[in-house]
Amino acid sequence: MRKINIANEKGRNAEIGFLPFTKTKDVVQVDKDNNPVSSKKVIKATINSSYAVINAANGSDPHKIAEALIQGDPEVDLELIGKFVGKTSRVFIDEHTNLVYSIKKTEKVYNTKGELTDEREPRNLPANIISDIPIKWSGKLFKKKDVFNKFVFIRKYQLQHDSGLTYDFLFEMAKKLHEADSLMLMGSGKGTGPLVFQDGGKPFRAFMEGRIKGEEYLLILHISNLELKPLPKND
Amino acid sequence: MAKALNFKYQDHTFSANIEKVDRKKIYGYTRVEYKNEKGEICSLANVTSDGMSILPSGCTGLVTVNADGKFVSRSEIQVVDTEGNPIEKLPSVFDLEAIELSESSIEEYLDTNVKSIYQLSFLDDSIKATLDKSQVLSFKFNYRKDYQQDDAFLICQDDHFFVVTGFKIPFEYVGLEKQFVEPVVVEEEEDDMDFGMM
Repeated sequence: MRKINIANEKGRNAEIGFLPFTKTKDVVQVDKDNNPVSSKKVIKATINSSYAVINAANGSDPHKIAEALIQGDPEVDLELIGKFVGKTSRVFIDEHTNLVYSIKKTEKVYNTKGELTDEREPRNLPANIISDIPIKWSGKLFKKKDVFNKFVFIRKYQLQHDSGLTYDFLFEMAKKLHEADSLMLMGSGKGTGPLVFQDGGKPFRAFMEGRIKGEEYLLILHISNLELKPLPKND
Repeated sequence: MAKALNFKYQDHTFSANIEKVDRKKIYGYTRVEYKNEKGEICSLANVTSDGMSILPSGCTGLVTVNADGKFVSRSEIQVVDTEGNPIEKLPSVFDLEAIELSESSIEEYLDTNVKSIYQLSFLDDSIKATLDKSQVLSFKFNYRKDYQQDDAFLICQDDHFFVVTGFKIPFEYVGLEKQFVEPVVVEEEEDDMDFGMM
């Protein structure tokens, strides 16, 4: 189970386990004998059978290319096509399909109309959910009825205790939020900064929701990177 | 343009076109470009584990195989439920005469992992005056014919109506007797809430 270092309103912190959720499949694909089937990745072509290589080998002459295709089938590698692809490594290739050993990365920023507005070094945000500095309560409470339609809470994580102490810690949080019928903005820095779940990952805003039922609690961290607002009008 | 969706809620029927909402359309987007020392654009490719083949984008495909690794053609494949009963595809919401809306709650909506968001444009705007803008309405959604359906909610924000689709998580409350366990990495900081975050 992944962990997040989280602090309550008093600034007391603990490392807490959290669970993501994925949809379970209610349907299964089977063959005619009712045995389950699965998908496998196979090779359709290789770099040597790519258009770029065949084109270069034939001096970019369409007649020569056509002749080569008819005579030698260079676009079909009978040894490799249809082979299952196991583990692979990632490499960079240039336009001529040569391996590249040194690259320069540039991040291009486009506006909503697709116009280039900036070029910069790519940001590589470090994960911040389990650092020495805990994710804090910002103190900013949002009534559920006021906030549910302001942001799109794309993912949810359930926070759970792993000891009696963390049970008390989380139950208290859930109770406060339940009684306030509100979500609390949680974040890095002073409590309003974004959360980054893995190195190089995307930043997200996080809102904590708490519910209680007797001695049981439900603490949900709602993750958002989008405000719910209308699309810009086309000019 | 796709067909309009036809909704039915209590005594009201109304139609609306939908348009997908995403970050790209709201905030813009970024793209990382890779160049070699000569300034030529480069792209990512895969190398097979034996190091013998380079597979640029588009050089792999998916096939369906049985437990023995033998190819199974599409026409032989059947779809069954978890008990092994054959099932049929459910219709697309665009093909339904009317999508029945039922009352839901903010909690149910909050319990949903979001897949897609669509903005509604009503064919007749007068329905806006009839719908309660603080209410959450729910229905089942299939953009295309499919074996499974998504959960969907119709909600309003500032006089604009949206359909949010996804799947409802069956959250369970936990008490002292239920426990769990293990960790990960580093830090960052910022002050204001900036949803552009680019």
